[in-house]
Amino acid sequence: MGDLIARYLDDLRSELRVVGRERERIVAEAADHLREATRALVAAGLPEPEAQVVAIDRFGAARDLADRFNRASLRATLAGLGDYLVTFVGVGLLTIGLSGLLGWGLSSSIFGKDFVSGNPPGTTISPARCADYLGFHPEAGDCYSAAVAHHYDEFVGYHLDALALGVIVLLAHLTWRRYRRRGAQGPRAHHAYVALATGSFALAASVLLPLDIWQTARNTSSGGGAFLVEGTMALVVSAAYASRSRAGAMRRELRRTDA
Amino acid sequence: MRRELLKGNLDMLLLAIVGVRSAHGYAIIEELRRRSDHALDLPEGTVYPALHRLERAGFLTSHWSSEAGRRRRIYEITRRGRAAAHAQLDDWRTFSRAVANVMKEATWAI
Repeated sequence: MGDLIARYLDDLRSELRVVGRERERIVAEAADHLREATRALVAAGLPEPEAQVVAIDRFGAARDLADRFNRASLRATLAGLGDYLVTFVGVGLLTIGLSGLLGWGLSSSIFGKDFVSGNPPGTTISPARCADYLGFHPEAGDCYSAAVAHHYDEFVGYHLDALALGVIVLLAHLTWRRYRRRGAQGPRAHHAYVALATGSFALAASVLLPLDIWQTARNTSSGGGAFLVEGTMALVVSAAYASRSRAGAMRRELRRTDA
Repeated sequence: MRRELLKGNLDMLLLAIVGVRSAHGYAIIEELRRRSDHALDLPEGTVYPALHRLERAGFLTSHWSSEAGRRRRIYEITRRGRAAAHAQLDDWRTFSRAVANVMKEATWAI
């Protein structure tokens, strides 16, 4: 390769704000193009140095080309972050919602309402608050039972709201992506997202599950079941993300082996 | 031909070319030039950001290929890319028909 093309490629490399494999790919494609164009011009009768000048002139200034890639990369990065953030929020809301369904199922079929909304030991209820609870649930008969019933309504209601919101967020996001016809992000960004999501849900599970154990150990009907179902669901989602990450790693390994 | 005219339609043209046959960047540009009878001439480097953008959008895929000891990036159209090309072609036909109809009666400009 002549000096002019080598210098052009150095300029291009230094102007690019894109990093890693992406940058090397851009430079390699430019090098291949310039070599091919030079060869065609030489075959048409131009001396090599002139052919390089013409090939570079037709290709465009290194700074202009780098600017185009830099702008596209920034836009793609921001759009990708937005995509992942919305997906993460949607999955988070869905997880909360599903844990509500699990809590509702376990409470109504096995453990009773105080499994997720029982009064922690030592709870005292002021007369005014007692009147409020009994206002919501006069059939409960006493303040503590009315409080449990009220908190159970809140537990189920809030979790179902989260479920509905999660479904709406994810469906809207999916529809928007189809409408915009946006493809998937690069494998590295995807891998980072999956790792981050796995870690975040695992962290949530590692906080919530010990809370359940601590609270349930003190009193089984103190409402610790809420932490149990939420922590369990976070663990399930974390495991699902982890298996996705593992499947992705295996696919990459297979591709490497094929290559 | 003015470059601005080409700008908004470059994606459609690239998909149309890669849709026929998978190719590397240089071959795509040569084909664009050949099929347009050299009317579509643009700084060749500008095609690469467009190819990368189309790949990010899921309309193209690409892979390295070795030919005579040289590594080249080969672009292929995806099913989604074909659908997008069809949609863009429909839009283009509607637009060009509308422009042709308007210009048909502008005899003073001919």
